[in-house]
Amino acid sequence: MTAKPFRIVTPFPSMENTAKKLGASKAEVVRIEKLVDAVVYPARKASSGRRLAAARKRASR
Amino acid sequence: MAGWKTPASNPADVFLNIPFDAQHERLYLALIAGLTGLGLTPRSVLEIPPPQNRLSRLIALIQACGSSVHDLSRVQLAPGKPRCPRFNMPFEAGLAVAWAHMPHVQHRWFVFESVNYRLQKSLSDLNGIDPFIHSGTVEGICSALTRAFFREDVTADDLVKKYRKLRPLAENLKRKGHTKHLFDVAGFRGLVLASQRIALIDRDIATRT
Repeated sequence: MTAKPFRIVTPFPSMENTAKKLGASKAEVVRIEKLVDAVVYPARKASSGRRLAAARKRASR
Repeated sequence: MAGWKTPASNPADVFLNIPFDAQHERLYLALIAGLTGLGLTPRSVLEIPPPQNRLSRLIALIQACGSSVHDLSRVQLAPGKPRCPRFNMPFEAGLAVAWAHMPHVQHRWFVFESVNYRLQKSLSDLNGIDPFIHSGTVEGICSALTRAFFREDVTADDLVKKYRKLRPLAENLKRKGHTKHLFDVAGFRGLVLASQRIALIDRDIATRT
């Protein structure tokens, strides 16, 4: 067995590359992305929406 | 061997050799969350459809991965008749070890176990190597992963947090009919992609703050 821990220096893989590797369709990737955003990061979605709304309001002034 | 070329492997791909049963579901999720949290891509025999050329495709998959994790903690007899132990995991571990010993091949393999010193009895050919003991817990798996793989600024606690985010998603994937079972190709794919999205978002948040 490898005695020393394997030092990871490669960048985090993109979802597109992983999807291609695992044979997932674009639709499946979009479905999963939406599910993660809805279940795990609902606040993040809301806050980015609020940021967007604030930016639009500032632009309309 | 004249004319023999080493197949290209991806150092960030990790072949996961683990038991596929409901009792092991938490650890399966922890391994996926942990590996993606470290910036690695879990690969599994689940990607290979059952019928033809299974063995050659399994070997090709191991060869395509820069590392492999072999959880040899399931030593009980499989339920259902005829009652017998499952040999797939030690067999796949043997394939990976043989591959790692080929000249010019860089393949790292790591053995995980839940009980101390049991491997000395269940697989004495590996005497002299220390398996990573995870005690059958999510925290144990995450700790073992950070001892096997090292990435600057990623701790075992980070990986446990990622597991906690993936857990409700796994339930959701099953409930919403994205997959019937987490131990099939759609389930595995969904979990890896979801977990990778979590890792990328968390990384993005961490770099902004």
